[in-house]
Order: sequence, then C-alpha cells, then structure tokens
Amino acid sequence: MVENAALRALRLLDLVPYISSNPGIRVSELAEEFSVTQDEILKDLNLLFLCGLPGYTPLELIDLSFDDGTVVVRDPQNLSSPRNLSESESLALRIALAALEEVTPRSHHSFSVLHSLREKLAKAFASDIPATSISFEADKDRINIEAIRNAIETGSDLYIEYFNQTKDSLSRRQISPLGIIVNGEKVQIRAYCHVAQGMRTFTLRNISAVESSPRTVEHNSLDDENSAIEIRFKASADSEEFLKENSESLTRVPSNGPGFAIYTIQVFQPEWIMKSAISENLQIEEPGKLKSAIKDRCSAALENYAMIG
Amino acid sequence: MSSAKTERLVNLTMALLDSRRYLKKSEIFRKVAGYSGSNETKERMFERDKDDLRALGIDIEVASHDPLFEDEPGYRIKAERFQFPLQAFTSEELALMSTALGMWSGSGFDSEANEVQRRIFSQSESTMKLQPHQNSEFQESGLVELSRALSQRSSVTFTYKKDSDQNPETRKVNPLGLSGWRGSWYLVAEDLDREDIRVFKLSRITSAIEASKKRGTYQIPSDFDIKDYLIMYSRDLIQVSAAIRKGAAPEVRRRALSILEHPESVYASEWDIVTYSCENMTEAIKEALWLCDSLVALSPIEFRKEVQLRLEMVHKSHG
Repeated sequence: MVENAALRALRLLDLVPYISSNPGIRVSELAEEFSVTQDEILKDLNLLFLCGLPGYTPLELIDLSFDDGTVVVRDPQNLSSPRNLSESESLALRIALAALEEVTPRSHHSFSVLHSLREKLAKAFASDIPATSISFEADKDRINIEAIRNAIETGSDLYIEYFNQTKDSLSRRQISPLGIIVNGEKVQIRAYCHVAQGMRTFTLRNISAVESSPRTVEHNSLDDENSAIEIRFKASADSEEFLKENSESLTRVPSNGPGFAIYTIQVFQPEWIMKSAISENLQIEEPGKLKSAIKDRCSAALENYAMIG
Repeated sequence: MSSAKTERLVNLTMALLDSRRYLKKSEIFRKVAGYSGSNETKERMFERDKDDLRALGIDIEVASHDPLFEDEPGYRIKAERFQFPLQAFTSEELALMSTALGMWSGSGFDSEANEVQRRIFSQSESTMKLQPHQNSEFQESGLVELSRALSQRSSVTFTYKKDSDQNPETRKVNPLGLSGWRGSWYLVAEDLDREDIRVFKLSRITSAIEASKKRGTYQIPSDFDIKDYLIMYSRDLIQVSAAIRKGAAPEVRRRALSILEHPESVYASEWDIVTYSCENMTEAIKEALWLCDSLVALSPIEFRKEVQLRLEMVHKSHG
C-alpha cells in the first residue's frame, strides 16, 4: 500500500517535538513508537533536513543529527511543542475523564483535581461540542463488586467509602473482604473491618467507592461478633417492605389472636431495629428496655417538632 | 511515493504557523518552498494541500486580510490551536489525562489513544495511584464510530431494533450527544427521516455504523443538554424541606438543592434548613422517620403532618 503523503507529513510534524523531548532516542525506538520500519524513519529524518521556514537557509531549516543509531534535534524551529488534540481525540479524552471522575472516590485527592481539569479542558479547547453533550454515570455496583471479588481472590485489602444508614454516617475504612452474600436483590459483603476491629457486613448499595490496598495487618477471621439480642414485634400496615427485606431472618410467632402477625428477629445493632421500628411502624413487644427507648426517642422528636417549624 | 508533496505540506504548515498575520496565496507561492508551475497549477496544488491538512485536523484559518481586497483571502495556523498547551497543565493533570485515555485501551480508539499518549503524555510521570477500575464499558460496539462521527459532525446510518419483536429499521441521524449510563450507552441524535430528536440504545443497533464522509454538515445547538432527552435523568422527583442538625444526614445533604442556616438565631448554630429531592412522599416520610432525632420535616405541610402523626402513633404503641 502506498502511504498517503499527508499522513506522512503528519508523522514528520510529530517526529520533531517527540525527538526534541527525547534527545538521543534510538532510531529503532522511534520506529516502534511510530509503528513504521527503521528504514522509513531514516527516510523521514532525511526529508526533515529539507524542511523549515521560508528563507530555507541553514538558519531556518530544521536541524537534526543522527549517528550511531541515535537522533538529536538541534533546532526544531517552530515545531518544539506537541501537536494539539484533534476534535475526535479531545472528545475521546473528555468522555474518558467524565468516566474517570465518576469512578474516583470523592475523598480521593484526585477527585477535585479531575473536576477542575474537566472545566479547564472545556475552556482550553474551543469545541463545537458542548460539555452537556456528554454524560456518564458508572455502573458503580458492578465496578465495586469486581474490585471486591478481585480482593477476595488475591487476599488484598480495600479502602471503602461506606454510608452507614443505621448510624447515619459516611466513613472511609479499611476492610479485608472474605465473602459475598447474595440475598434476593440485596448484595452484602462479609469482611473484617480494621476500624471496628471485627467482622462486619456491608451492603453493596451503600458502598460508594472502592480502592485496593495491600493487606497490612493479619487478622483472625473467626473474630467474635457482638452478641445478638432477640426482638419480638408486631407488624403493621406500614411494615410490608421491612418484612420483605428481612424475610430470611424473621421467625413468625404462632398466635391465634386477631390483628397483625408477630415475629422474632435476632439483631446485632439495637440502633438499627429502633430506627426500623419508627420508620416502618413496627410495634416492639420485647425487650422492654428497647420499647421504652423507642418511646423516648419519639417524645424527643415530637418536642423538636413543637419547637421548630 | 513522492516525497515532494510531504515536504511541501510540512513547509506549508510551518510557514502558516510562523506567520503572525494572514498570508495571501501570492505570498505563499512566493515564500513557501515547493510551489511551482503555472499559476493555475499552483492554485490547484494549494487547494488540495489545504484540504489535506484540514482532513488531518489541522486548523487553517481564513480571513480577508485587507478590507480593500476582499476577494483575496489570507491564511494562517494559530499556534494556540495547533500546539498542545503543555505548560497550562500541572504534571498531575497530565497524568490524570493519560490515565483517563487508558480507559479506551482494547477499544477501537486504541490506536488514537496510544498516539495521543506518545505525542502529548510521554513525558508526564505516570506514577499515579489512580487506576481506571474497569474499562469494559468502553468496549461497547459502535461507541467509537459514533464518537468519531459526533466529533466530526457527520451524519450516520445504521439499522435499529426498537423492540425485541420488531424488525430492524434503517435510521439516518445526526449525532448530538453520547451518554454512558450504568453500563449502557445511549446516543441522542436528530433523526433525519422523522425530523425529530430521538434516543438510541447502542446495544439495539443491529448493523455497523456507516458515517458520511462529509464533515461539519450540521451544528449542535450550544444549549443542547443530553440529560433533557434521557428518561433516567427526568424522573419526577418531589422537593421537600426540613431542619437538619449540622453534620447529620450526609445522604440527604448529597441530594440537597439548597442548605441554609436556620433563620432564627437560637437554632442557627445547631440546625440547617435543607431543601432536597425525594423519589416520592412515602419515601420522604420513611426517611424523615428514620432520621427523626436529627431531622424535623417542615414543608410541604402534609409531609410534616404525616411524620408527626406517625411519631405519635409509634409513641403511643410503645407506651
């Protein structure tokens, strides 16, 4: 195939800045970088000797030298900087940056750099494609589960950004993942948490970012769990979702009485069942201590309502 | 292969790049090495050279150089358009751009991405900790061809299967934007037969993408926003507001439309007034109850009343 003269001109225009920033580069390396034969590179270099600025005296010509298979540019004339991104290259870069920002944890130092970089790029390159022509939302759960699976296989640790709904807090923690539990639509991760120093279960949906890290501390994966307490409660018309989501952990208590069904459930975090009771309208029957704690929380909340609004 | 043309193209580029003003054709023929023959021959040579350089993405600007001689345009290449402004970016920014381009590896953009890496980012230190987690989302077939067509504003033709039980139809469109959404890609484009803007899911395109060779045949309105056309961004959310304790409810704050200090000074140090969006009223009420020790529902009034009522109910049932 005869090479297009224009494409070759483009390679010549790119060779000069490339050699300028890599002085002494070997002809063989250039051939590899530009995906052509060494012979073609030598022909290109010989042609570059003839190119330059109007006047075309030795002062205006591109000056380069090559011996022993290495090349140096002595005078690149006005070709010292790399050629700019083309419209399709800059679009590819903009799409990729949008995606990279999406998968970068918000707490990571690079997140804010990426954000301002995208604005800077949009300004730096007057483009005919507005920034709002591109949008990207990552399949975060899939990306996270792949990183977690990978960590389990390689025995490495992860830094995760986790939203704990029960504690209503966002935290960054180091975990050693051990298993993935699929429970209906709910996917959970069993892991040793280095912050809590014990085994914990994390809901995939609440993990907003995952970053791998080498395993720093060995741990005993059979570490004990906080002991569970048994809760007995009566459901209501508003509890349907709760019953569905926790169906595997519930035991129905046989009763002949009228009204809603009564269940028991083993709970590790009293805070979780308290919030669930208020939000899903569960009527806690046992233990009595929890029952009065819920009553107190409701009174305190109602006081806030009386005060603010 | 004739080297003369290559040599002339390089010389022309350098000359147009060097000039601070627009060069007239006659000046180009006189100054730039490689133009010879009759005037007509030179004219033809120059027209072809100009088209070739533009096809390579080199931006040659045209301007009337003297208002008195409007019939003779001038040409130049602006350095700020031709050169990549390396010094405008920090080494970290360059490394991030390089990392981002890596997401295309293995896709049809591979060779372009590699070329940009070599041309622009080869000097930047790539000692970044950030690894692109996964790039399988960039392997979707048709994505590269459509990005390319979008970047050149060329219309494209493909066959598209709207529903699984429907026969594929040929569609001719002008691409306006691309959106990646949780693992799927969508093209928003002006359908030339239906004379309307339509959304296409890339996985439902059943043929290769055929792009017109003509570039710049249409314009994208500067106020075009792809999210206006995508249903997943236009869910009907409701807006509610609540007083929220400072530092509490990070998830709600993430959805905030506004966060203001409580107007009454006695509460200002402890409470913010947050207006935020929710899927629907049922979810809003459940969430407000879940967060009842740090959130007080304010408006709309039925939101506040319902939360209060439910709190009273639970209070009573645990009494």
